[in-house]
Amino acid sequence: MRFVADLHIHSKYSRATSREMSPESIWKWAQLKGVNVVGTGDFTHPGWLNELREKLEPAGNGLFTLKDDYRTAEVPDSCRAEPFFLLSAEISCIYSKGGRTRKIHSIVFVPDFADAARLNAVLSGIGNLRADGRPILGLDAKELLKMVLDVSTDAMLVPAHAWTPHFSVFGAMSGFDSLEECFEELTPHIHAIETGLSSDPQMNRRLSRLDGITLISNSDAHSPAKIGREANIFDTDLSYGAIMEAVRTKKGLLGTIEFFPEEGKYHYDGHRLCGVSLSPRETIEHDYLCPVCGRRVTVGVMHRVEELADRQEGFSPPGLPGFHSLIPLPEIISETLKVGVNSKKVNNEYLKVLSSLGNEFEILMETPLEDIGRAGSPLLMEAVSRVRTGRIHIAPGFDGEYGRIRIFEKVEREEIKGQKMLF
Amino acid sequence: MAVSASSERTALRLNLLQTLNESQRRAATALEGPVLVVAGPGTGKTLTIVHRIAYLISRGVRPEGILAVTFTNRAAREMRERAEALLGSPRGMFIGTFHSLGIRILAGELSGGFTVYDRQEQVRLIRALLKKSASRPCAKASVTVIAEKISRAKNLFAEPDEKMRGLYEEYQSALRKDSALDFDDLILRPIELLGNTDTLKRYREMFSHIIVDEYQDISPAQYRLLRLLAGRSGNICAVGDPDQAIYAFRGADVEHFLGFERDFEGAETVVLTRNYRSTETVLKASGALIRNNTRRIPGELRPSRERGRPVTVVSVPDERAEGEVIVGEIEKRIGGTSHQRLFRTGEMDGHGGEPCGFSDFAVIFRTNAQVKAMEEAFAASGIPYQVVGRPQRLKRSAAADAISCLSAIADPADGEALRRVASMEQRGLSSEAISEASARAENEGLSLYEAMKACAHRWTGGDRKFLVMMERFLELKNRLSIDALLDVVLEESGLRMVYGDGGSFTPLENLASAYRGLPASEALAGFINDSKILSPADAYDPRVHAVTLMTMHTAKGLEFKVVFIAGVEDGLIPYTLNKDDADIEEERRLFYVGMTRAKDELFLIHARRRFLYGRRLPRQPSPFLDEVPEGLIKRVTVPDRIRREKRDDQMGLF
Ligand SMILES: [Zn+2]
Ligand SMILES: [Zn+2]
Repeated sequence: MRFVADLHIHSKYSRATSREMSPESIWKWAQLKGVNVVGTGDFTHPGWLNELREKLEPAGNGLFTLKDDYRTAEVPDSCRAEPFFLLSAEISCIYSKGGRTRKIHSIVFVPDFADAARLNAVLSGIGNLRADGRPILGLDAKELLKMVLDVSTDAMLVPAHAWTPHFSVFGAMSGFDSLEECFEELTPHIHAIETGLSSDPQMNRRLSRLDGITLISNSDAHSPAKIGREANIFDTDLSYGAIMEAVRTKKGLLGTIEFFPEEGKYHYDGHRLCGVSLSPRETIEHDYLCPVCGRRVTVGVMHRVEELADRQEGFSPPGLPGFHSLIPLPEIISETLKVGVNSKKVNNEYLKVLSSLGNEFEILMETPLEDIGRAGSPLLMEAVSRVRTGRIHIAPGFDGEYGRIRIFEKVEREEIKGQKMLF
Repeated sequence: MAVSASSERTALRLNLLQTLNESQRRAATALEGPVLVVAGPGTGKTLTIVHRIAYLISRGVRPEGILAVTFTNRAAREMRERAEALLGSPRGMFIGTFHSLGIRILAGELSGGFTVYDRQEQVRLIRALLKKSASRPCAKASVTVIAEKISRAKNLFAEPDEKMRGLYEEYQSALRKDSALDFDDLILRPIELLGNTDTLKRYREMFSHIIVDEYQDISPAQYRLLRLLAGRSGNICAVGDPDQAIYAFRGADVEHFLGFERDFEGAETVVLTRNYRSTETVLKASGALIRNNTRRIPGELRPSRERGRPVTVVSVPDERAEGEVIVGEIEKRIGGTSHQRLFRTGEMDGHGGEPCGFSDFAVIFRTNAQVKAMEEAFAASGIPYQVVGRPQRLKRSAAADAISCLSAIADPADGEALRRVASMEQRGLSSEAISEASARAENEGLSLYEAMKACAHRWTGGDRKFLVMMERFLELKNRLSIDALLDVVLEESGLRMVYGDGGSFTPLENLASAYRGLPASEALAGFINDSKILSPADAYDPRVHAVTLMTMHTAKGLEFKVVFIAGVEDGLIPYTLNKDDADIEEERRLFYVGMTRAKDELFLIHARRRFLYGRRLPRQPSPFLDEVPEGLIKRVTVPDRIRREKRDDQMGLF
């Protein structure tokens, strides 16, 4: 069956994460978003693992469902579904190797609580699992991989947001130039990488050495509304084993749902404190130094891909899963209403549209445009249409600053509004 | 044509010494008669010793004739590995601690076998004796304190004081009854045995060349043992640094070092002065401090590194701020540990210095009472840390369980060990089965193991499996070498599963590899005795990068890029709280040891108030800070109130 999976999120036990990230509201928001399988995140945290044990029950397929006692009626009928949970965690490895500081985030998946507990037992001897839902370990990422593989043959490790400058396997600041440098002889056990918000599959495919690697996308959400901002579309049995098989082989992975990479926090280069954003070419012209303060700029994902790529821009090898570039619906609504994305007004409109049309992914990808026009507004209809066809403007993100999207020029907006008057 | 042994040796000899500087070379090659090597911090002491060992062998000395005594098992292991690397193959030198030397001598001389009681077993025995005897010798003293007093008396080679006499006698006879020895007996009994002229002659012939590391810290008992083995003008090479003598409280006496030339006829002294570890600033600062001691060998270390950054003296409001400052400085040097922290410190491109891992940092303090506050700061930050040398932490630890397993395998009649194995969570016996077997053992006068076997025909499931497992271990004992047996036991007993592979067994496995190839049936008892003298300082997991938190005593011999000394306050450094007979020179040496651990950067931190021993007290900076020249210092003051940081912006609804 065809389903959407977001396998990397964080719980309320992670730093800088919303108190709302509880099993109940993850369950609710997965439905609003149209996510059928959602990672639990943070199973390394003993408190979160206990809560998961208490509130989830095994569905018998390596996935979990929310127990009836914890379900609420808050989900509009149009969005009702049965979301499954998959045990996931993210671990931050900080260590030195080859004379450089390395900071690598990895996602880990396991099929049951026993495996999670076993991995936790091993890791608790190495670092503090209670301080943060995403624990910091002073451990070589390769050693972590070894431990994960030792815990269970069903367990899987995937390098997280593989291109972010500070905390990833290819990161410009503290990563490696290849998977082999990081994982050495265990590299064959790396079947997939997570592309992260600032890169899309097309950019990754410029590296021929990643041809054998599956590209997956997840939200890395720190609050419920961010669930599903990136995700994977599978067509397999709905089970842990089938999902992992698809991640291993790409068979059954139809494609991914992506941010426009320019919207990600690290697409371009630059220096946030000085408000300086640079394209890779400009960075080279400025000798990697901030033209305002003279300190080194943070080299972004696009630059880094360019550095490691062996293919021209636009190359796309045949036979690989495709992808949809989307902008989250609340952001689109925010643009049409010209109010902040966190405003009450956006929230009301969002829920209204969902109630009449269905979950967010349906709206963004499938709902006929006229229906959107009817349930929302002509401006929203036009906006979704433009997002679907990629006709948008984005000021690229840099050095931790999200990219800024503009779907409409000011004049256009007025014109479309005007058209509405004519009907 | 085969290369002759002697030309091979010549080649080795020629290559050997090229990496040494002049004084190191002298120390490595002065082979005849007593030699005292004064080796300050970072002067290449271990390098020099291993070259001396290799050089001795290259000159035709039998490897078995070389005895090298170290202070810790870790040091022994490092020395052995480096010597073997230099020689290109394993050789038969004896490299070990005083305790393992004692065990070696006793194993050769005591025909009836013996058991070593570790500190815990010693305390248990004393507690049992106190219960039995009507009069407690010192009502107020805890059992641990009594154990320490007994130990100190033995170390000093002295009679225990009057009040302790009775208990001491009971304790000794209880040990004799169990053919058991405590740690201190591992030195005293060999001294007794070497009182026999024939025995002494044998050992003097056996060990033609002796090297002693950390000579400044030897106790009178250890000194006596060395004197016996070396003779008055024997080939003894004592290596150490009187400025780093820090074990007076255990009965060590720096006078042995200072009096070496007097004690050993014709002794030559070699001073290693070039320091390869620290920046010039760290060296000058620590040198200026230690010069204020009188009981030392005058002299100064010469830097071989650049000047480096100034020593940072930080004044903080309290112990909480102290922890936060340390955590913050570490994060800066790591370049941030999370996106939130990145933004907070604004350090986007690291620190500009060399890149660091967590294991490049150490926090050093004077007393264990300071650990808790420091741990809280690290726990809150999520930065991985390890407390090295934490006392009494091994109660039911991985290693203790493993040793119980091996003890039960070595001697199934050892009821205490077998009971501990049987009560292990994974793959042990049910509590019903344990009580059934215990009752039967009691009633029928059987050993616990015999009783288990007698009961077993009615057992099922896990209980039956346990016995099958024990039988298999006993059978494997006769076929496997120690390292292989340990591996099987850790695996099949479920210990590895329970404790994980996170390095809990690393010290044991290291020790087992030193026994490589020896059949378990012969060497198991010896291995168990050896394993009991593993110290907490041996419990390092080399795979783990973590910030090390430890006391000055534990820090000796280690080095780190960045060192934070916490609690540089009067009362703590020098330590005079709860103590009126502080030895100021020893305290200064401790501080010196702490400072000289630093390779690149040194932070000395003092709080203006501190919660200590149940009270919040105003604090003054350590008087030792005044002994560090102002020109080498950069002062930083953290004001009383600390701004609370904002939370991240992803908190909103969208
Ligand atoms: Zn991450
Ligand atoms: Zn700048």
